[in-house]
Amino acid sequence: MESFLGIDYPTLWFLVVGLLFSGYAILEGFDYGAGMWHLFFRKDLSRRIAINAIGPLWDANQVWLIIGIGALFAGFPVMYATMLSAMYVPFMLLLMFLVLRSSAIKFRSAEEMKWWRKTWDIIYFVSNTLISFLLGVILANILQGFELAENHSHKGGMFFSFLNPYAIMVSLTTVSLFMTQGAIFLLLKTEGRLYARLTFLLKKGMIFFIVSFAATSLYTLVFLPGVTDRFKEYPVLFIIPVLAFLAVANVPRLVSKKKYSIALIFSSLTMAFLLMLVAVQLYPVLLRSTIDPEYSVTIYNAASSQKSLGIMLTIVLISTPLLAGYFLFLYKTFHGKVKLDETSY
Amino acid sequence: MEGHYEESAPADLYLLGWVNDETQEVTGLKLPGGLSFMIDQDFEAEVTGLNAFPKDERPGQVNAVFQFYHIMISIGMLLIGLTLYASFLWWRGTLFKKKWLLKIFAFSVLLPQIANQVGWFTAEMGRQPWIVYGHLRTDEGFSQEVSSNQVLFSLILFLVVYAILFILFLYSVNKKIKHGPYDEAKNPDEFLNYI
Repeated sequence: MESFLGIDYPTLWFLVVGLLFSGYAILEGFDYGAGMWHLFFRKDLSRRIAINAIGPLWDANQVWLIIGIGALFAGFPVMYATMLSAMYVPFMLLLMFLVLRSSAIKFRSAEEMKWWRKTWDIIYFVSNTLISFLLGVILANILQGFELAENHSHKGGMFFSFLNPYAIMVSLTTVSLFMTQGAIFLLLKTEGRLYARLTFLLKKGMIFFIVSFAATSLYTLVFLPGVTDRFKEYPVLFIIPVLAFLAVANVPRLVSKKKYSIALIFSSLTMAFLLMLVAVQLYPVLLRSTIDPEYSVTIYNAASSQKSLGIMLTIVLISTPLLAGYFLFLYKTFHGKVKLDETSY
Repeated sequence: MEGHYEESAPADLYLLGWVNDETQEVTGLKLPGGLSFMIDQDFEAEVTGLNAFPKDERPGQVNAVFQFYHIMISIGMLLIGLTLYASFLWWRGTLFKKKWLLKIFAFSVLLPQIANQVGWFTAEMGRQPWIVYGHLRTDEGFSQEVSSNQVLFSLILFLVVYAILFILFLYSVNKKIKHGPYDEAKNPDEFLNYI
């Protein structure tokens, strides 16, 4: 098997996919989070400011999901096929809400009528909430594993078969983490009374997050068998949960000091460390079979040919600096508080 | 796409027509030898027909593919024609006096969208029974895990969502047309907003 820097190609691609999904969670985290606070703002002007805070950024952020899923398809086609077939309905609902959310951003402020804006506001809020919720459901189901039989085949159910207690807990954690992230981001973008209201809302969001985070962690440790095996095997990996915990604890501390930019970095790090925990626990498995470990989808039996992986890794090496440069430029350009003008949503 | 079943020389190109899948014949307005010319730059050249392929390796709906393809081409030609005619009138300075033509233009906003869709139908239906031509057949390609109920559910879901978005599209296009062009010279800000 070919390797680069002593790491084999499938593992490198696993890192690439992980990085893309972390980027997606962090960036879209504050987008969806901002959207989930939408109905908590009462005035139309506040709602417009909140939408325009993410206005120039959300479509660029959304591309991370597309390249993430694309990277999964290109690098681990078997995983792509198994995951999307097994969770067909949740993914279709996710797609629908993504379409509705984008439409709501575009259409909401296009008309003056009260009923028009109110309808789109509700659609916007519901889509953001359910997108975050569904992402949590998908993550929880991947953690729990599927009844994969021979050839990774699995009869996927309708939506409700994915809604077990654990999935709901992980989803609530996702929702609350995004809400925290969104509120911190909006604080950086607003001023005046909206800013004051957001400091109040952020506190509620953080309490919501810490409660659901603690409950989910406890549930994971008690009810998910083998979740700590990897860490007992390699004690050095304990650094990741410790860092995750420190990042979580650091957010309220920085918020109380009103250091919102650094708080945003730490709530982003929280997401990165939590996803890293998931990755470390799963590796090298992508989808665990609850029937027989033989039938699990791993990065080795799901990978494309070594040659394709090699070509794609070269593309990643070239495009990463370009992507990073573009995002730096984008965020620098739209830095600072929102000012509404003719071109705003 | 031309409903060309038997290998023959010369092969004709149809502007309009109807394919009878039973008798494997096409009736319609044709350009004799046109297909031969497009393939070999020779009006007499021989063109392989559908019958050269086994029956299970060619599309079942030849007439449908024929019609979709011809709708796409006709729309394209019509739009080129309209543009050329309008350019001619614009050059003569009488374009904005022809109200009927401007009316046609307002409705031809929809034509490229239709052409796009039927072109897609042509590609997808014409490729059957392959999903990746020569490598993977459609019946081998679809998921064994996803039940037909789930597929139906997602189809209805997106049909509803896209129907709503289509109505919104018509509404906003109509609004833009009624608003009329923005006057660049008078209000540059508003013009920038418009583009």
